[in-house]
Amino acid sequence: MVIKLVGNGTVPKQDLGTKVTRLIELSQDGFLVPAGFAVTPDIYQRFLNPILDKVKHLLTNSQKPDKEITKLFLESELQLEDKKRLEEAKGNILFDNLLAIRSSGNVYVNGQVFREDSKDISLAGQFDSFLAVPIYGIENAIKMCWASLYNQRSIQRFEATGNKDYAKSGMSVLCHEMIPATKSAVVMTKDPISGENVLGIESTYGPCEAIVSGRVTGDYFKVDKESGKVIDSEKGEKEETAVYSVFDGTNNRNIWWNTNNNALRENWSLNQSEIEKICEIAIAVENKYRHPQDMEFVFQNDQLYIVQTRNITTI
Amino acid sequence: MENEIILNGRVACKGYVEGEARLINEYKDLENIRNGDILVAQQTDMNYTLYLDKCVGIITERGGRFSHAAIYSRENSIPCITAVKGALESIIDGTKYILDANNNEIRRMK
Repeated sequence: MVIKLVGNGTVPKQDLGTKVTRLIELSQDGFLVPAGFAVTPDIYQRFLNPILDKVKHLLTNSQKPDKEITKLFLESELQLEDKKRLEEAKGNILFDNLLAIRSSGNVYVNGQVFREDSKDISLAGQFDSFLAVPIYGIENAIKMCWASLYNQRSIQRFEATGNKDYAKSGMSVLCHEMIPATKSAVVMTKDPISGENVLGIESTYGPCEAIVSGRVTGDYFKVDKESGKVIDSEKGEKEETAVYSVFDGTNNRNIWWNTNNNALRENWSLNQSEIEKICEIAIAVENKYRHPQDMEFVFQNDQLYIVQTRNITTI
Repeated sequence: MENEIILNGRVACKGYVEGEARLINEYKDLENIRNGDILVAQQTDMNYTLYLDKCVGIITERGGRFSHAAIYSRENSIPCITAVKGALESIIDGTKYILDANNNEIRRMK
């Protein structure tokens, strides 16, 4: 499964964003990642250029620049060549499949560019992502990701209104098939609190959003990296499982929460064999990047996918 | 005089702080946060960020060591304990608490 780059190939690798480059690198090395493609920053720039003055005007003069810019983006068209590139990329996705559309942005502030997972600032969660997007909704979701460079929290955080460089900010958009997760786990290959060289896994049923958002307290396993055996564990409440309705083209939420029954809550969400599988892959990825990793995994029955990996920055 | 030990959970970021608890049951409660508060919520998200900057400690009822609140706390070195069952019921808004994330204890100051 490969993530294809959709663009004219002129963008330097460092501008693609870690979400994109890491999944490409992992898929090239034979790790199982979701299939998909990445809309590179040059496509965004060609889309933006004809409407740049309007964007700057809205940023300075509108009462609700985030909404107005989103509206402008949705009403504007990709350059013809780029539309063709996107159609070709979409052609590889099965019609029924739903996708995750994820922003990976670089911001320009005071003449400097800050990239995702930069040491100086964290851009995690800064821009928008959209889940359960059907094929016919991909282009709109991509435009809404681009528009999120101008979402309220970004306008405030980067003082975009007074920041003459801000319009240079750009974005890759990673589009990948959403794996129907039976279970998911967030894994850190070094304990970020104690610094111990152990694997920490937090897992639950269904998609990873439950763990990442903190809506659910998952099962916690502290795992010996050499043997894959559990050294310590804490059973989590595993209160709910996330389910998604199909993205409707707006910012309305499409995530819903089903309460888990007692049997699900009382059982461990992972068995020893699943823990060992995670351990093996996590260590291989850590060795590849020679740095402790913060990873997201999903299981679709017994198939284990890496959905995201990045360096742990707080160790 | 001893402070009463009342709650614990999963330590996400170590440290010791004292501060007034500020209960967040819905987004509009974020407007009540003052500098030096200890935030108490079910969970946090990106909309909390500007307000978390004012807090000296974070307590969440749900989530583990890899939740948004946990990651934020470590990135900003703010003591944090997650998975504190019953936090929103037991902790009294506006009252001073000790958040001792070195020992996984939340205590009300007398």
